Amino acid sequence: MPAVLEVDDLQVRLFDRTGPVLAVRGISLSVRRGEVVALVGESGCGKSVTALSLLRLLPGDAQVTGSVRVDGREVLELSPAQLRTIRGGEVAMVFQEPMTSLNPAFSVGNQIAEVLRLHQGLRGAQARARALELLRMVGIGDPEKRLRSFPHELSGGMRQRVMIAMALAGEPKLLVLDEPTTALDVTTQAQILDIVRDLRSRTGMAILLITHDLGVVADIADRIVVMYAGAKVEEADVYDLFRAPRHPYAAGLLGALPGSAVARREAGRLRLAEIPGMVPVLRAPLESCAFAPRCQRATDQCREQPPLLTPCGPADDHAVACFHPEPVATVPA
Amino acid sequence: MSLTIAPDPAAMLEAAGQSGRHWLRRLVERPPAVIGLAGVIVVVVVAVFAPLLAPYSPVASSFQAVLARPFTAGHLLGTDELGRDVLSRMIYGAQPTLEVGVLATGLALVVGVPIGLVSGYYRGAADMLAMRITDVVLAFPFLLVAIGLAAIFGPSLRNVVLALGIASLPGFVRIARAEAMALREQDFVQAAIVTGVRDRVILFRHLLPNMAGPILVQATLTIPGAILGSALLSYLGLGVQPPTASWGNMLATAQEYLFNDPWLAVFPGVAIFLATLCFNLLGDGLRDLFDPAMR
Amino acid sequence: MKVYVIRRLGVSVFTLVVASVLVFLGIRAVPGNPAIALTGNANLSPAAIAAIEGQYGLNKPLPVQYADWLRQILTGHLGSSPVTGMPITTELSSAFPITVELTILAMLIGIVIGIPAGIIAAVRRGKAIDYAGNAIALFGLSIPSFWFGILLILIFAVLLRVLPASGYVSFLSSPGSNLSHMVMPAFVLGTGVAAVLMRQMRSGMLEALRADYVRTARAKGLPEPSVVLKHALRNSLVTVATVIGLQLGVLLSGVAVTEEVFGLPGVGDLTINAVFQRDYPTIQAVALITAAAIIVINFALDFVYAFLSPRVRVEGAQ
Repeated sequence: MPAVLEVDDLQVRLFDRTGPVLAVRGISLSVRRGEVVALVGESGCGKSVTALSLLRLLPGDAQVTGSVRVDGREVLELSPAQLRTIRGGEVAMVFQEPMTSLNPAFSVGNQIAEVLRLHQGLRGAQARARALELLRMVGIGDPEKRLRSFPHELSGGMRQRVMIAMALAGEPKLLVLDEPTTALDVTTQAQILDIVRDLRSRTGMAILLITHDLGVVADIADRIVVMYAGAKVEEADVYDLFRAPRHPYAAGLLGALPGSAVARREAGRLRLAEIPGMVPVLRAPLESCAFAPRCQRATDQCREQPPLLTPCGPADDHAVACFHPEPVATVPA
Repeated sequence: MSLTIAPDPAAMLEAAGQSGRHWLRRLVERPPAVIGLAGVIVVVVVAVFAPLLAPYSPVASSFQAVLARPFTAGHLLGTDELGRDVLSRMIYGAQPTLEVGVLATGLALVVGVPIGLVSGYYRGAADMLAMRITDVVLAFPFLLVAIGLAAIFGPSLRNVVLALGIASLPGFVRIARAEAMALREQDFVQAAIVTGVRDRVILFRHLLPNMAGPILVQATLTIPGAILGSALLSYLGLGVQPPTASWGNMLATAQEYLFNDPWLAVFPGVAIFLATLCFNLLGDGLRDLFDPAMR
Repeated sequence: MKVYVIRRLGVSVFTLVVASVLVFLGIRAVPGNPAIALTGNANLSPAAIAAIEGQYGLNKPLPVQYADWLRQILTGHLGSSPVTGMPITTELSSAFPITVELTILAMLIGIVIGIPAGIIAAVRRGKAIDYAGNAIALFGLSIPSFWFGILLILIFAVLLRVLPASGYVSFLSSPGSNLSHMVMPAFVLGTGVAAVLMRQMRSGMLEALRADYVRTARAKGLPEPSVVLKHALRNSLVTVATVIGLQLGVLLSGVAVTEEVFGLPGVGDLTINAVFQRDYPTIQAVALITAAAIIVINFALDFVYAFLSPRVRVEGAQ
């Protein structure tokens, strides 16, 4: 099946007060129709920057190189007018902060109708009918009333449902969810994930799910891409990765998952909280493994040259960027 | 003094709120702010050392040289309708202008900040009261307050200070209130509340020093408004009374001679404009330091 | 919304009452006998003073006097000027239209220049046009309006002789002449308003453009003009509406002095003359009407505020 999204060697350089920051360092990934790919990593690892660069939503001074193809069209080379047909049309995004991502000055109906008008050519009664349908689809009760509501009258979970409804309004081929549940309480998180799971089976659209929480992706994602310091450190089928993570950072993320097999087996040895340090802010290309300062397996080799992404393990779609990719054997949970 | 840039953005932000030496140093890196600061210093020096700088007495008339043009008869800027040296009157005229600007702002700060502090910290009834006070103040234009005071007490510099001070009050109340509300929620203040530190200590030791930056900015941006206001009142004859020179009352007289001797109206206007501009430049520079996003 | 309206109305009425008490007490704070202040005659015999005190009810307790005074005002009796002998309502009704026309023209000029300039500066932040706009606004903010007026008179009336230096012609008797008298004063005030609005608009817009909902709007595929003029503008206008309310007093003070510079017989001119003629009843009437006008405009602005920011409608204006 052809890939809806193909990202190839994406590099993003941002500028803060002190100079350039290498936010994304050569990410490649693809999402096929009907597939859910999870992009996972700690905050600051570059996963949200990756998501934003898919629709060129980064600040104007950001330098983005590489390739982002949606349905074969190169997004990074589109004219502003062409880009607008992709934004909200072929690719829709749901952001992390439902509290601030909706415009406080306009009603929910108004904000959904905008997308319907732009991408579906729907107006008036037609747009209204479709908006009601979308609100029902994301499980909002009393949609007639909610259409007239303003964002401040809705709870966080409700707002995130509206954001998803708005994203669906353009009937996208790819839905990008950037930490869609992080700002929500656990019960609401589960409800939102149910909606996503339901959408995937009903519409067959491709989904790129960005999160720092492996627990969120465990039973939704087909494949997982683990990012660290702007680069991909491991990619695998969700089952393979959960069963036997190769990269110590991936294993660490799994260890941070309460009640996971790794957590039980490793007894906190790999828990991220106990790995000293933070995701580094890179200002120049690295001559070593970015994770080495926090890694217990690090050797002189790790500190002298960066590891490249190489296939590993029995599955052909499993790859890791590590000099010591011993699988952490886990008992299936 | 070396002009090194702090390497870390977090440290820079911290420096904006914390270290006095650092923000002054960084202020100096902004050309408009430097021009503003220099201009402010010039105005202060001229006002303070007026007796030493002025070539003539500001009130001495000379009927031999009435309305002398600039650069004639030993008068750099000429003389006015009573033969008084315009340059000397300009130099002395800086005094009431600066005095009003600083005193009115000081009055508004000293009264307004405690009101805002208390209303923002306690909310409730104190807040209600403070908001209603500012509502009432906002209902009276400063000119009307000045007129009322002049009607009751007769025109004087004190009335001008009072009128402009009252008019500048709401700005300080709002800033202090907003800062107090925001600071109240911060951990160090909450910790102080929980551990039973007395309110007076929290207000003046914890809150007040931490809102010094925004208050300084507000003050620097209030002074130019007060300078303009004082020139306006003085132009209308509600401020300093002749023969004492102020830039505003010099303009009022100059307008009568506009057709034949327009230069009389040019110099005091330029002085008011430049003094106001310099305070605004300095204030903008300071605000950018404390709130870089607005630059 | 209903709760919000009632609350704002209550606040406005309260402010109005306090303001009227201040105005009422103000005239009684004038040194000497209030009878002298009210009539402007310093050489009254004790008998005449007693007669006037009886006439104005000055011998009654203050609260009673206040109630009487308020009743008179509410029935349209503002008294007459001791200087001209004319009813104050007559004087005000000829001065009022001039001031209102000047204020409206100035606001229009200010809005037409200031709002677009602020938007452009924010959108083109850090570019040449932003710096130019900021520099011009700073000039507009720093230039004394009355001096600017004098300069314009010097240029357009004295040197070029294309516009009248002073005076007023009513719009109804000659629209062209009316506008030629109004163009300079309106421009002088308008540039000051534009400078304030431009700076406020710019900073409000910069804040809005950084907001998450603007990113959402872009992610939806909205064209940039819609992103800026619909999503960002609506929210940044909230701060602008607030600033207009705060700046009303400064604007009206500016209107008064501009009338003085250009010899326009408006309310400002009336008041300034009154103060030098010790015409206390006129000052009192103008003070009360001005305060009432500002309070009413601020009440109206509360509605603009509620329209721009739906949250306010529910939670009240805090």
